[in-house]
Amino acid sequence: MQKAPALRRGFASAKRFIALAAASALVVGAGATMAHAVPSQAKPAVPAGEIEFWHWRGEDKAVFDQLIARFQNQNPGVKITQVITPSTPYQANAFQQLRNNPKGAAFAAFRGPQFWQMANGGLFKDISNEAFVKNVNPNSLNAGKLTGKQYGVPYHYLFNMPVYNTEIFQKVGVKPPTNWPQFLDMCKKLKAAGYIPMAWIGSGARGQSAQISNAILANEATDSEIFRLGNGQTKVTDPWFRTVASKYEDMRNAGCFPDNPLGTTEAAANALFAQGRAAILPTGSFSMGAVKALNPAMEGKMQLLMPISKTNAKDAKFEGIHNNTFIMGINNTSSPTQQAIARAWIDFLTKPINAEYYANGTSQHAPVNGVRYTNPDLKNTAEWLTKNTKLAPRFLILNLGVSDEVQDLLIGIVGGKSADAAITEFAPRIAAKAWS
Amino acid sequence: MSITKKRLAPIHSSRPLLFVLPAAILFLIFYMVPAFLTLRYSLTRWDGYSPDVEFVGLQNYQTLITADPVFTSTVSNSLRFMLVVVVFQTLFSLILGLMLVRNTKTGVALRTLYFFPTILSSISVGLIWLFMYDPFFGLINYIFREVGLTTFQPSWLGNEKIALYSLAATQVWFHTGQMMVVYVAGLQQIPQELYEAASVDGANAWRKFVSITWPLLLPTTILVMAYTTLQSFRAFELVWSMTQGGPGGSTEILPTLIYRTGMLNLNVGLATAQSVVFMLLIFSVFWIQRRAVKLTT
Repeated sequence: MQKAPALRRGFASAKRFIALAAASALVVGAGATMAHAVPSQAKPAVPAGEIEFWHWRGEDKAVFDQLIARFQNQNPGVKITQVITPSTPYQANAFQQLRNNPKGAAFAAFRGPQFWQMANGGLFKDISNEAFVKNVNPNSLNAGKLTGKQYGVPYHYLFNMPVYNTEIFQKVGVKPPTNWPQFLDMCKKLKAAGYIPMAWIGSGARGQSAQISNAILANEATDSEIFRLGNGQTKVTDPWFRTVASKYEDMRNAGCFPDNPLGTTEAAANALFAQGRAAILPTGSFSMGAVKALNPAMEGKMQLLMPISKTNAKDAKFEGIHNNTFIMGINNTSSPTQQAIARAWIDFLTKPINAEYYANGTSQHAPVNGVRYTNPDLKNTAEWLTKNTKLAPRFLILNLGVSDEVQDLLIGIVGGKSADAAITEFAPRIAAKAWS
Repeated sequence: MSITKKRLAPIHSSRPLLFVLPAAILFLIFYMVPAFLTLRYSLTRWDGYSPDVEFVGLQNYQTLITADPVFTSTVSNSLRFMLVVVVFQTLFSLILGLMLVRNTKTGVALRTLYFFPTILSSISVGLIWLFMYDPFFGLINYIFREVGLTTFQPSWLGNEKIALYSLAATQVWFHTGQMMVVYVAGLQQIPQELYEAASVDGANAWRKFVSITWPLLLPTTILVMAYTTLQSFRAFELVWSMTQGGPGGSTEILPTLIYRTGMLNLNVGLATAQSVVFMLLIFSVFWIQRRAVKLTT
């Protein structure tokens, strides 16, 4: 049994605090609106300097470049460079790299283990009293909180639910299912019509394979049961997890997954869906941008559906899944000047006009107050913003070792193992990784 | 004519040590100190960033040996991967070396062609082969479909039973050309007179290979096997870019497990213990190889 990393808080030295306070005074309300909306001379100046903005969204680079250009135009002498790393190495390395790189003053974190590690490790600066925090929807802010303090603001409001091709559904004559038998029946009909029901990603990073587990976990487990898997207080041999595993067996037996599912990479799955060979891409709304990049004709033809895992829809507590991620924060190891620029940059991004530009340009809903969506796919899926959706539960397993093994267990079922055999095989592996 | 004799510095002079010193200092800083720190951290419980480092004695080693099925299966994967790569890479590079030993235009051109994959980065090779193995868009299954084997569509990287060997095949493709060049150099060192004498004695090609080529190529083979062993143990980039250790940990090798334990799970104490065991494993394999070669000769 392993021990949880010790909690640690980052404390600024007194000298640093004074310098930071002085710098903060310079940037209150600075540079937050577009150049044409507020004359630049009306704002307190952001100190000149250069910082890096670290994140993993390569597909958002062009939109961020535009926003950076506007920000720099409003704040002469300021330079921001994007440092983009693909999501898997970002999750593995960003924390250690940013701890030793004060220039990376503004950065984003995934909700779940990465945010927890970074906040625990003192990388995030406490931003509880920053004015820009109020720009973000209060319900979404919880994703950037730890022990009552606000360390980051999420910039994505995602739906980690399968995306389906509305044209294929219409052609085959299936409707989004409202209960589990309907979901399995939908898979059978799509397969009989010659489509791959779900272009499920079984190869490479476990993150995308795991997205569909959110929908099952949401209505089959409590937050506490999922969370305590990390320290071994709940187990995969418990009845609730056996139910979750059995749902994977159901999906496999109904032909929901592609042939050779464990060899399907993310690139292949996106291509299968974009080409109209697969009816469903079981990842989330965040994949819409990538699909449209492969086939622009898919714009406006995508919707979301929720695999309700209950036989009777009334027994389901949640109608959908959402996630607040891309949690932006300020690097605690950066200099006061760098932190001041990072603060102004995040303030700028959380202004409705800029968040709107980002959201519509990247097909991501943003949890910023007052944002209006003009992107057809965001408009189509905006109805989910008001539904009873659950914050993606798989990220409640903060122990990455356990999380990986749990996903490997479920992936193994898709690959052909029975639920019982997979649980028997993985239970000791998971027990060995649990925190004491 | 008188011959002037120069006096050489006495053998016990400390001057030669000065020439060794720069290299020794670099070795100390970049090898010995990290090795010592690795050993030290392997006796601790540490997350890699907090100031709290707890001394736990041999507990990490005890966990690895008695209570960590992931580690046990990973050691097995690493050894199987190494064995397959060493056997086939050595065999194929020897065959290619024998075929292309002459410095003809075709021979040189083919040597260049076979050597080409070596200059690619591991990540590039991983991405190329990830696409080759793709069950939907990959070249390999496409060829099988085209020749009528429509039902033979293996999931090269998705089937737990064959994924490790698919990776091993990629590793062999990647480095065989490099080892072929080493063999060509070794073959060109063998005096032609020996073959001529054998011909006069009526030896056939196989007899010449068994009695001349193979014994004289043994030092080259030892070099090839040692280098291939090291390469296969360090195939981190290839595995990470293609499978990340999946499915179900079936392609997890020690470098990827150490990375996952230390960098993703932030369990630096356990990761360094895994590194120490890894180092001992490499030493053991080398020792067995040397013993095997000595027994053969």
